[in-house]
Order: sequence, then structure tokens, then C-alpha cells
Amino acid sequence: MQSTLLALETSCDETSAAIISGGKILANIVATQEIHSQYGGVIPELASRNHDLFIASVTQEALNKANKELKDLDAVAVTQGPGLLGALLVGNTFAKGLSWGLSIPLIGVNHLQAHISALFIDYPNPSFPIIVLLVSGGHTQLIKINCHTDYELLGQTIDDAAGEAYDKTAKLLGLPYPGGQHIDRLAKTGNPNAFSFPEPKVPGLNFSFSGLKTSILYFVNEQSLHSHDFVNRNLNDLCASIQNTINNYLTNKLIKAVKQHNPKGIAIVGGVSANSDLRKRMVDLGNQISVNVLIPKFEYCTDNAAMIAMAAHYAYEKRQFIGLESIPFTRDMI
Amino acid sequence: MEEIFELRLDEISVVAIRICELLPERNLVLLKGNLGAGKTTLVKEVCKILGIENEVSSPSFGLINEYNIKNLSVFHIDLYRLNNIDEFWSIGGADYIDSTSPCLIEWPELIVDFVDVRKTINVEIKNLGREIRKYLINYN
Repeated sequence: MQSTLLALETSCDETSAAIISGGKILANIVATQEIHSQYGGVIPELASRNHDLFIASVTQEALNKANKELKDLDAVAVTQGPGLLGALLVGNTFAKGLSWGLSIPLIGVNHLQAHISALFIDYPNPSFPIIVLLVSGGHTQLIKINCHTDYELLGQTIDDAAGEAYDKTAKLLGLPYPGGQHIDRLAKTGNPNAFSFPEPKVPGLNFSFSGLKTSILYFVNEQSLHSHDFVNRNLNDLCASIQNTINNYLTNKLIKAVKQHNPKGIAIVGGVSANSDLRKRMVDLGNQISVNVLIPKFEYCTDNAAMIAMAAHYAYEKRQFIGLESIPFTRDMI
Repeated sequence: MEEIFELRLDEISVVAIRICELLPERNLVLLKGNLGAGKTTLVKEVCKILGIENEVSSPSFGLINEYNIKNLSVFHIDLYRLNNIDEFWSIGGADYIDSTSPCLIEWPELIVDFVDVRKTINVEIKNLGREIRKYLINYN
């Protein structure tokens, strides 16, 4: 008999629910205006972090899409942390209510570990070990995966996250926030070597992006003094050069980790994995050093409940449950 | 009271120490300054003096980072992504600013009218050059 689990994610901006059965994702619903108007009436615009408004409707939508009912569930899983306390509490309280009401076990999932579990949705049985670059708006980490459930943190950012570096430098160039996607688009027709910015120097496998942000700020300000429309005239070259600097830095650290750990595969997860140049570099690097390259579908890279469901699937196999007295945690740990 | 410091970035501990001296009687540090001014860098330095090292990173995406040392909790908050005061209340903002725990808040413009001025240290950072910053500290 295949186990069927409901998973909930409310750690930060997104409210999401997913259903997994026998290790296969049957539904992955993220709150959108559409879903809300379907179930909850009229709200002028979708507000992030209104988890209490969305959680019941995304759960029902996930059950409908998976063609399941509450009585079919064998367990309920929830992001226990890290994240915003108020946001986590909504998901955790809702999950506890279901666990208690349906008399099924409760599974607490670590959000960061779940970003990695997202890999196993599309690649259920990869060769281990794998070195993962986790790059998102809030995190930048290098992690070694030894098996489906054993993860080792190799390095992380000491200040800004890579996604934040993209979004904030985009803002410095006058692009809308969040601007990572605009940099990606404009960089396609720019010269990546037009301008050079110093690569941050942090020992080992840790990262730093705040100095890069400052040096781009000063470069742009100084050039704009000489010619006021410098940014507009060179926008594509600036985007390409900034992207080149950030992605070089990320891949150089990844290569360093690969040399130290000789993995069978390399992977990229998190929202910044949408960056087309970074994806291409991963594939090129994989070919060059003859290792597998794992990149999950983008819907599993941003915050979503499918990845929580995948992590919960392994926890369920090991009967790793938590009690109703468990509380969310806010701090990063992996 | 207003105090003004002009420092090189490698002298930043001077202003961080001053903030820590003012902290026991106040718990809110509102840090204003443009992108790249060094707000997170100053928070790192204040936390270092409070005994928290190696775990201070930007909360721009996650909105709130909590650091713990012995029996002290320090909240590092970044309101850059918030659009209005209601969003601040909805993330539990009142629980943090009404507590006695130190709250170091970047991009605080949204909430300046809602904080207790007697508990507040205002810090404004101005870039005077690549390596030089002017810090204006205001408190009651």
C-alpha cells in the first residue's frame, strides 16, 4: 500500500500545499490570485504572507487535483523552519489540527533540506555523492549530499545571498525589484567582459556578496558623474558583466568543492537556478568533468510544498514523526 | 541628542561600541542608508560586540533573523521588501519592537512613526567615499 502524504509550506512569502503518494508528486499548489478568488472571495491583489487566508483553500485545491480526500492521508507534513515565526505558526498549527483530527502522524521538515530533496522529484535515484549549489533570495550554500537523507554543509554566504546580490544590483541600475530576471534577460545581448568587478575574497567554500554590491555602486556612480546616461547607454553590458562576475564566483567555488570531494554529480537548487547563464555553466561544467548535472524543474526551485512532500516521503519511510507539542524554529540549520 | 562620527570602514567598531553603550536602556536601532551604505556591516559589528559572530547575514529575503547568545535574543530585521505598515504587523512586528530584546532594523522608514522614541536609537549612514562613512546617531 502506497503512503499518501499532505505537505504544507508557509515559511516566508508563499502559501503552498502538495500531495505525494508512493514518492510521486500528485499535486503542488501555490497560492495565487486565481485560487484565492475561487475559494475566498474578492481581494484586490494577492498579498504575500497572508497564510491564514490561503492555507485551507490551497490544501483543498491540492486534494482535488490529486483526486484524494482527507481520509486518504497517511500523514501530514509541514515546514518546521527556518523561516518567519508568525508565518511558520500558521502552517504548523493547521498541520497539527489535521494530524490530531485525522489521527495521523505529523512530520516536521527543514525548509533548506527540502530545497535539496526537490532534486529527488525529477531524479529519484541519482548516484551519490552530489555537490549542490543552493542559491536563492535568502540563501547561498554549498552542500554535499551523501544519500537521500544525509546532507553536509560545506560553505555558505557570510552576508548577502546570491539572489539578493542580483536583485539589489539590478535596483542600483534602476531596474524594478526583484530584478534578477531582468539582468538575465538584458545580459543576453550584452558583453560579459565589458566591465570587470573584483571577485570577493573569502577563504574556503564560504561566499560574500556585499562588497560586490558596493563596488558596483561606486563604479556606476563614478561613471555617471562623467556621463549622466552611462547606465542607460551601457545597460546590457553592465548586466552581462555583473552576471558574469556573480556566476564566475559561484562556479569557481563549486569547482573548488568538486576538487575537494570528487562527487558523482553536481546540482543547483533555489530560485537563482532560473538564471539561464548559470544553468548553461552547470551543464558545461558537468560535461567537462564528466559528472551528472541535476537541475530540478523551476516550479520545484522556488518555495513550494512539493519539496516539503519529497522530504516528508523519506521521513515517513523512517517513521520520523514529531509530536503535537513541537514548535517551529526560525534559525538556519542544515 | 545627536552624535556624529566620520570613520573609515575599518574603524566601524567605534560607532558599533557607541550603539552598544546606548542599547541597554533602548532596544530599537533603526538603520537608515542607501544600498551599499553598510547597514548589514554595522549590524555585524554590533552583534560581534554583543558576542554573536559568524552567523549574521542579510535578512532581506527572510525579513527577520534571530541570533541567540546565552539568554539574550537579538533580532535582525530588514523591511526592504515590505510595502506598507500592515505587512509589518502581519509578520508579528509588534511582538519584536514591543519586546525588550535588541532589534536592529534595516530600511525602517515604514515604521518610524510607530515606534517608541524613548526606546529608539536612530542611525543614519551616509557615503562620503568608497571607504568613508558618516554616521549620525540620534536618541532621546
